[in-house]
Amino acid sequence: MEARTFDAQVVLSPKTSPRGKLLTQYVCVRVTRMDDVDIALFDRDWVNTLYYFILNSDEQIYLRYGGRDARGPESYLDLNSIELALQKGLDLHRKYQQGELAKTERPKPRFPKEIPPLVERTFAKNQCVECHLIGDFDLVHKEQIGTLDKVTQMYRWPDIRALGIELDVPKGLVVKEAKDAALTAGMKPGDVIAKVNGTPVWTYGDLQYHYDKVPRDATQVKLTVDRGDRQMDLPIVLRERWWLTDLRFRQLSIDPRAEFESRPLTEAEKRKYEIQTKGFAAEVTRIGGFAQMLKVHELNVGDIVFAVDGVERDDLANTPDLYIKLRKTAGDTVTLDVIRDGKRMKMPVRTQRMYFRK
Amino acid sequence: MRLFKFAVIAGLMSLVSSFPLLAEDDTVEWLSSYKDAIREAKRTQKPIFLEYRCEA
Repeated sequence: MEARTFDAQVVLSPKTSPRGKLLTQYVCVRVTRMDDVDIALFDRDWVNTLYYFILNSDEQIYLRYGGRDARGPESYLDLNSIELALQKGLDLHRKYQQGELAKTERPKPRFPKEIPPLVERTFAKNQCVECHLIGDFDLVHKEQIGTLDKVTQMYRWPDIRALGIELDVPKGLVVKEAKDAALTAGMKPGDVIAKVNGTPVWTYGDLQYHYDKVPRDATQVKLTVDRGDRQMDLPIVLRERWWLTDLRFRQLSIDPRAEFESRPLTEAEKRKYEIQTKGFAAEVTRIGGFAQMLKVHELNVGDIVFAVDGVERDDLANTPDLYIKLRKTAGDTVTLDVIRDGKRMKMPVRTQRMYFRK
Repeated sequence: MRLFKFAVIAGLMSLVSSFPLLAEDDTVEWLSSYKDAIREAKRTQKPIFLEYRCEA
């Protein structure tokens, strides 16, 4: 369901409907201007046009609802699961009022006006503070002042599907299918994800938020699941670069776009081309749509790229395009070492910054 | 405190062709101010359901 339709269905819930009966037990508020949002308290994936919080008047957040992935903005929006969230919010509020729910520390408030490039871009021009601009310009500012950590901040919101977890979305955190690392750890369809590294989660929004808190150098994450009457801890092994996500739908100005994708070569292939076996050499598999129009580069599918500015290996990157994303700044021109039809050549790449979407 | 029905209802309904026409009094009431919501939640002891909607 499209976000705008979902929004309308929620906002216009009849009081007598099941959802309306839940909503009337709340103070409902719909905020459409982000100028004064406390972005520390209401931190979230800012590339969502629709997101919900359930909290109390002490500003203690009980749960989040919403969240998306690379498939689309509505991957986890569902009218059944939002009713589950509304019911859980009421349960948690009762517990809070009865003193059965620990108070959490409120983060120090922070507001969009504290992000200088956002002030220049929107407030100074009296333009709308769009949600994604908050996230984008926060990163731009971090890059400007030298505090940007791309692995944790540009690659925020890692995807649980990379663990092999497919949720039964209408049922909230009920597992529909467990594959790969999740299956190896013992997860089964019908399990209900209850905690991430010991922190309770009630919705996909909670799961995404707390999964993002896992340190990027972690080698496992502990998911606790409810299975029948039992609760089980499942340590799930995190593969290398588990945090890697598709950034293409994001409008990050800090993402240096090189307009190509590649697949890592095998060690045998690297030996064949007489290039470093521990390096990030890769075969170009896709040329971005803007490559020709913006004269970014002249790569072809099938080219072998084995170095960027003379560097052939990296602790994190396993492909040259990832190396560029992690180690270069948007707008940089870099030189690739390329093998085409057995011949070695140098090729400049002018990385792109997503100005035109701002 | 200012309780009101959304001025955007008509706009939303025009966007959702399949949406049933609802009389205003039949639908849930929403505030548009976070500060008002905090005040109302303190007064009523209700929890808050907060929607952030970034409209293009």
